[in-house]
Order: sequence, then structure tokens, then C-alpha cells
Amino acid sequence: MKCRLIDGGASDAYYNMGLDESILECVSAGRSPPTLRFYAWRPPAVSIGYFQGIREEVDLDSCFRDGVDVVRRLTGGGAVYHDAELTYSIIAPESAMPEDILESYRHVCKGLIIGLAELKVKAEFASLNDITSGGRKISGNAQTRRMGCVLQHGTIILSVDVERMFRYLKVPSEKVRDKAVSDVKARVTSVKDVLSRDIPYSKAADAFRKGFSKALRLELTDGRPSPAEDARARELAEAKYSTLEWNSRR
Amino acid sequence: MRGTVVRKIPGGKLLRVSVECDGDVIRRVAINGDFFAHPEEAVESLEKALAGARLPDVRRIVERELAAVKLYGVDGNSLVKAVWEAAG
Repeated sequence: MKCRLIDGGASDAYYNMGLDESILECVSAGRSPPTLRFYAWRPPAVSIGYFQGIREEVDLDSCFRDGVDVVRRLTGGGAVYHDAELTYSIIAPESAMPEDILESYRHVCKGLIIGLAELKVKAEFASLNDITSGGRKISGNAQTRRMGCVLQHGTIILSVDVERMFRYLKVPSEKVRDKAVSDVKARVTSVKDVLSRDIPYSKAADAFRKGFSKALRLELTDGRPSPAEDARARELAEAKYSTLEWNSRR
Repeated sequence: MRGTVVRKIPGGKLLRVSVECDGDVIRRVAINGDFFAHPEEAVESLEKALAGARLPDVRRIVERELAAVKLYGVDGNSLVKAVWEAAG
């Protein structure tokens, strides 16, 4: 499949989510080609799943105090603290993806597993939507299907600071905070933890470019958002993803 | 009457259901969690369909509303059970 690659680097949470949706609209309308996108989050952000309650999941006071953005995703799944990671999204017509949703997670995640192998990180798919290394989560993924297209996005954790993560994500009660932190430390890893060295975003992006290209047989062409996609992303960031109405709707 | 049930679905995701009731009539239901539903809007439709319904009708409504919905990490039975328990 011919596919555009947009490596846009870091943006704020609202633009990031706005651009995923904007590209989805344009791919659906046939105005843009299938697209693979790599990005990061500046400032750091918490994203919550489509069905999650913002007050139950996010310590809003701490986020506000530290300038951490909070955004509701278009996709289900759990709350994620986005900091030192590479995020990807892939947006393509449903006809270009396995029809079965579980199978399509596995299909897209192959790109990540090969990309991780390029970085010398051994990893495997863990249904429904995770990738693990040594039994610990190194990548989380979420998919929606709208307007005849698949949008799957996800994170590859380059480095993780669990204490910092729990400044912004709520635990069920303060009584279990220590246990929640130690549980997550035992369940989550990162590229840095596995390799005992930092991998910069740019090196990770090169590896995942190769990984997706091989696994999904993509003919990648470097590109950027069209002016229309960029304008629509900004509109969605302002009118949807940064609003209380969207973010506090559940 | 108002209640909330939070439950990890075995082999699935976290489900949080809050219900407000007058007797056996549901006033409001909120279904939250880290599960997946395709299409996503079906969960909002289900919440609307349950508002004003009687508790004995919950299973029928859930089955009707979710008939064409693909759920991952949660299932219709768990939802029905959680609504009943949150209302109880």
C-alpha cells in the first residue's frame, strides 16, 4: 500500500488529537492518502480513553499546576501519561486492513514489533491491544473505525518514570498508592529499561519506519499535513479537543 | 437512590457503572471504563435508552442496543449485572 509518512515531532495534545481526526476525515473523503504519522507530546499530556471519566482518572489539579495537558481521545482504552515516548497513528481505509478488529490490532502491531527488533528490543503482541517485552508492557494501542476508515494510534514507551506518571493519573485511593506504583513498575517497561541506554525519538522513528514498512508492506513517502488538514486540525484542537465540553463529557 | 459499581471484567477491562434510580425506574446511567466499543457512540445511545427504563427491562434494552455493537474488554451480561448492582 502506498502511504504517506508524516513525522511531525512534538505538538500539544489538542493539535495531536485534532490532526489524527483531520487526517481521518481527509483519508475518508479520498483527499489524502493512507497515512502513517509519528509524533510526540509537548507539553507532556494525559490522554484518556473515549469512555473514561476524566475526574476518576486524572488528577486535574496536578496537571494544571505542572502544565500537563489533558485530552480525551477518539479511541477507547485507558488513560496514558505521554512524556518520553514515540506515538504513532495509522489511518487507512477499512478495505486496506483486516476486517476483524483483533486481527487488525495484531497486523498493525507487527510494525511495532519489527521496529522494536530494529532497536534490539524483543517484544511480542499481547491481545487485545498491548505489546510486551519480557512480559512487561512497552506499548499500548487503541483503534477506532469511522467513516469507512481505521484509525489506530499508540505509544512506544522510550523511558518511563512511574512516580511522575502517578502525579497525574489517579489511583483508586491514596491507601493503595504505593501498591499501585509498585504494580505498574512491575508491569510496565520501556526501551531504555530493556537496553539500559537512552534511545532518542529520531532513532526510534527510523526503526519504526522500517518496521511498519516491512510488516504492512507500505511504500512510504515522506510528507506533511496538507494546508487543509492542518487548518482542520487547528479547528478541531480549538473547538473540540481543548474544550471542557469534550474532555468532561464523561 | 444512587450507586456505583467498579469492576475488573475477568480477562477484560475495567467497568464503572453509576446509576440513579427512583424505585425501579432508572433516571440516569453512566457507563465508563477502559474498554472498547465499535461504534463508540453506541454506549451513549445505550445510556439514553436506559434513562427512564424500569430495572426489569434492562437486559432487553442492553441486548437490543448492543446487538450490532462489537465490544472488547466488556460484555452485555457484565453491563446488565453492573446496572442492577449499582441500582441495588
